Amino acid sequence: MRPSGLITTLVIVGSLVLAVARPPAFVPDWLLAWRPQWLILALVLWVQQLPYFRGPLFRAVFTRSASDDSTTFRRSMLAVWLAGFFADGLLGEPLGLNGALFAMIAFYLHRFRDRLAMQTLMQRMIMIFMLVFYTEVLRAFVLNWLLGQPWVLQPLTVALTSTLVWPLYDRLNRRSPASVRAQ
Amino acid sequence: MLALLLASLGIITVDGSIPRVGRENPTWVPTFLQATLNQTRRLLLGLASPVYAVAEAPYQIAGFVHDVTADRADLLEQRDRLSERLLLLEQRQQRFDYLQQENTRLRQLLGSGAQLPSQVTIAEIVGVSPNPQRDELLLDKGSDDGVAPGQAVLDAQGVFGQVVEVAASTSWVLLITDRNHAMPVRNSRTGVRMIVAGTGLLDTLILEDLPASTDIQEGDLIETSGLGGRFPIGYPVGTVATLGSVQDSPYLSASLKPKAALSKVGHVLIVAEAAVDAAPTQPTATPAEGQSSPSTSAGES
Repeated sequence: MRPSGLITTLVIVGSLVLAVARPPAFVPDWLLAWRPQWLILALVLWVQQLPYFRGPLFRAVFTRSASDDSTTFRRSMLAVWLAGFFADGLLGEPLGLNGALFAMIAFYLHRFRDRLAMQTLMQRMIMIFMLVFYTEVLRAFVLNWLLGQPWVLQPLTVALTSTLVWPLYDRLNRRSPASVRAQ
Repeated sequence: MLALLLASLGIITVDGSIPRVGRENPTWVPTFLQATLNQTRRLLLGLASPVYAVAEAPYQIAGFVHDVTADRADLLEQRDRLSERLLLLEQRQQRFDYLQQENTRLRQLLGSGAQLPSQVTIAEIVGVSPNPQRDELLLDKGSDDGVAPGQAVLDAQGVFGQVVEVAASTSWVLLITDRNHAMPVRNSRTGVRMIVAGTGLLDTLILEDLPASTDIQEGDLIETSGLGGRFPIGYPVGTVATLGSVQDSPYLSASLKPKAALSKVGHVLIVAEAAVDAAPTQPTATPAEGQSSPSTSAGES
């Protein structure tokens, strides 16, 4: 069974909501540093399903579908970069930060997409761990540089929980046409 | 890819160099660029607001269900309790009115500046920053409601923070406990001026560069001094929790416990205009109408 675009869209919207959702009062403060990086997980899901699922943002920016893979890739990168700006507004972070991070993730996933599609779940979980960890280290570096945010273990904790959550996304992603084609 | 990264790096550098509080323009950033970035940020914050609304919906629904299913006896008991409290506050209000008029007369006799009336907006907290390293909250009031960057935010107990970013219907508030926040205060017992800074912990503030000879005790109430023109004078910030001397240092280490309930969610007050008028007013026989002390400002809301 292949996932419909609606399901993927709902998963992405759900990830946005989870990314900013206020935890219940009984959740201790220290646990907040373990919140998974829902936005990056949603981004990985989206990019891995390109070009079969382009998403509402892609269609909103580019009204007509691309004519070839190269054009689709360039347009997708631009859509991902713009999605990063939306994330900046969502998280209240410096403009351009998430655009750069999202574009780097999308470039990596696109570059190795066929190889990634053939990996086992464990290998993909390791890939997610490294991806989220490096992304969060870069984010922490920029926030330390611009806002004086202290260095903490958050990149590690966020990467760990994101890795543990990934199988839920992976289950959806493995049913996608992109994955079927690679196999 | 390279073009996008370079563009991002340029935008990050420019946007990051503009201070969030007040968004003053650094000399090397052209005005039009700063205006464009501010507009973009406003637009993005506006676009993000529905996501926060959806994220807050479960709490809203839970609150509604709680209200609907509340026990009648509990409601009656709560009504009685609020009636008693209202009576008590009305009695205090009468006392405040008298003190306010007396204060106004004294200020006029001294030729001192008059306090401007405060415009208070009630706002509800609808989101918190997902980054645990930053103490920021999202309010449901924005520029459409008269909210502007730099305005002070208070709750029923004390100073909460200040508005740092504003969209049409929402705004971000930097809490006084954020590591990047500092504000001028004074000791209500002695009047000594100090600077209080955030620590990143919601239950702790610190007093910076406090000389060892300062007259300060544990339990002293620290309130806003009004200096800087951002926070209105006389609002409680916190009480001195710990005091200690630092070895080989001429300074004391002092921590405060904030008065405001920073970890709770609910309603807060945004004070729009509360600075002290710099120009002294001429003494007049009758007290000016509409002048309000901080206490009455909050009470009026």
